[in-house]
Amino acid sequence: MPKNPQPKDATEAFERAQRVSRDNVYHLRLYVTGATPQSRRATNKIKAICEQHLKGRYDLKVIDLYQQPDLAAEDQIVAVPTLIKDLPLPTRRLVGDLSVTERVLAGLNITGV
Amino acid sequence: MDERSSSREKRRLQREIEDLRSRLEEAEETLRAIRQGEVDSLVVSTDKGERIYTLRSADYFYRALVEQMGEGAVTINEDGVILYCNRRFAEMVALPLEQVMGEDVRSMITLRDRAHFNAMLISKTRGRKEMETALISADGTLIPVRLALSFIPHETPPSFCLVVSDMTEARKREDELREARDNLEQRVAERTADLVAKKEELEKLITERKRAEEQRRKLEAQLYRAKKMEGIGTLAGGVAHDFNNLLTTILGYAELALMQLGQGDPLYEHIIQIKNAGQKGASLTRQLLAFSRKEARRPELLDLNQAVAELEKILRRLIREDIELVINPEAGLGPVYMDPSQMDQIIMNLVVNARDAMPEGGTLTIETANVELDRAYFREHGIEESEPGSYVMLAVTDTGIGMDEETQSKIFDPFFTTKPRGTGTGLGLATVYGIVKQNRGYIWAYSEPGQGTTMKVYLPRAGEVLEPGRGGDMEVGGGLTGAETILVVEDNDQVLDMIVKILDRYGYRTLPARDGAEAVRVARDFEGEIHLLLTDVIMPGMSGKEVAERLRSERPDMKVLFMSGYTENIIMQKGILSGDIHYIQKPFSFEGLVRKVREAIDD
Repeated sequence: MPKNPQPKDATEAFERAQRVSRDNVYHLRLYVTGATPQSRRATNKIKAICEQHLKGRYDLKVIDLYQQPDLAAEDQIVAVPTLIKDLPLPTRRLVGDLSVTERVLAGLNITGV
Repeated sequence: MDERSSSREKRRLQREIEDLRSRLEEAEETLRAIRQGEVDSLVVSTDKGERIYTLRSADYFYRALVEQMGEGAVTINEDGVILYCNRRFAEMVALPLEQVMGEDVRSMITLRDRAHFNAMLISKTRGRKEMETALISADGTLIPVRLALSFIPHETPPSFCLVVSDMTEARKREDELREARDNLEQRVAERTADLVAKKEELEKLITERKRAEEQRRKLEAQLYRAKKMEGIGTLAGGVAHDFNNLLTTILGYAELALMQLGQGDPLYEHIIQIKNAGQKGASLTRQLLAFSRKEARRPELLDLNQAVAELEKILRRLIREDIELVINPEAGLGPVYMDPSQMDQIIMNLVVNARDAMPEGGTLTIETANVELDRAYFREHGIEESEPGSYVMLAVTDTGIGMDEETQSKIFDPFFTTKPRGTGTGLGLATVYGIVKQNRGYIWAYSEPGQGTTMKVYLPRAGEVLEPGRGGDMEVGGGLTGAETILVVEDNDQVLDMIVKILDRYGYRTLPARDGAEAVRVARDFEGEIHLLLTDVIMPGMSGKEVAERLRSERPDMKVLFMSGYTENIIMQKGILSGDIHYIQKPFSFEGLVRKVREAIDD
């Protein structure tokens, strides 16, 4: 399983997980390469999905690998764009332009909660 | 194996399978995405770190941006060699793309700024470094630019990104602005200088005006003084004229009295005093007249109309705009014999007086006319001693404030003025009077308060004027008795009386006549011989000369002794009556008279 870069140690991770399950907030990270077409599409799409299905309970970070290429190693990013769901567990990874909404929802385990 | 360990093992295997499955899922997912072209870039791990390979088609956006942008974009290596440049940059340096790539960018920067650029290149610090410089275009022009240099990390070879912004427009605008400001400053400076100059001019004008005013005031003061002085001469003339007759009377009667009293008489001394005083008076008038004579007078035949016409322009300037000037000359005006500047003075003084009588405007009329004045006329004006005859009249009329009788009686007095203190010398009319008298004329004022005033000046018409004679001693001598018959012609009764008495005293027989006509009558009726005609020169009706001529035709042996009170005759060079004449000047002592009489008879 890919490591979660954010928590500093296991305790924090656990606490966070606890919080999430209480809050039910989705923590998402989208890796892009600047304004390349797919990156742009992915950015647009995930934003739309979040607004529509997770309004008020999501935390989305967009990471431009052109600016910070070293961050790719941490999450072992191979192809760009890649979306990573940190929380709620389990972590999930989606690659591509995220154009098919059902697949994204299924992949992120977003139900009508 | 026991059950527990096998179920643990089972669970472990299940978890592993689960894990593998999800990993496989993800891997397949990734492959799927790649295959379906949903991916722009791949991350490649190198020993130098992660490198991102972007698919060419994904690059398009950026490339378009770079090519479209208005700035020049250049990628250079650490030696300044251009690895890439966009179209705009090539345009800036006016070279085709192929020629720019591979060139050292520093060769396109002005010499002066190359060291600075190098310094930026060498320092590999993070962040953007900027400088302002100029590019050398291939066609030789210098293009002002701003350079923004930034280091591109993770690139091999180490590269820099250079963004070149064309400052020409901005510079132009700066220059325009500066020019406009300079222009404005200059215009302001010019305007200020202009205003300062104008101010100085104005100040100069003001000082000039002040100076002119000052000068004018000085001149006016000078003129005032001169006028005062000038007045005195003609005053003297006027005064002396009237004085002469009075002195003649005083001296004459004094002498008569002395003769009758004899030296023992108590009154003798008193009369001596009167005589002395009279003689002093005569001496004084002589001095006054000498002073008046100093005024160079050059009489000539003058046309009054012409004199007025020539003065008209000056007169119009003398009077204000609210006064209308009307000139009515009589056609065929007779000439007068006098000094032209004296004539001008009469006219000007009268006009000025008339002007000053009309502070609120009005009409000023100047008229001339030929007139005949008879005795009755003179008597009406209270003049006993007069010379009726042909005159030229000058009348100056104003529609001003007029004068009452009391003022009228004083107007010719020297220093009498009705004007406020400081204006006028009080000598204007006195001067006119003096001149008029010098020239054997008359002047009268007609006025009523509120009705305006007319000043009338009468001057003897030339041709009637006798050329005066020379002579005039006042000799005193003795042994002057005689018994001859003397026809005495004198229009002043007092003087006539006195002369007759004196002559009687000396034993002469006297035939008095008050004027020429009477003299002729008397002479005609007298049957005896008339030895001497003693006659005044200027008389009304017939002049002394005429009487002499008339009587001479019938009495060719008759001698003539002329007398006159007009001492100014002495200085007249012209026209001595034909031949030698005997002449005695008034006032005379009766001894003097008798002496002259004796002389004339014995001639």
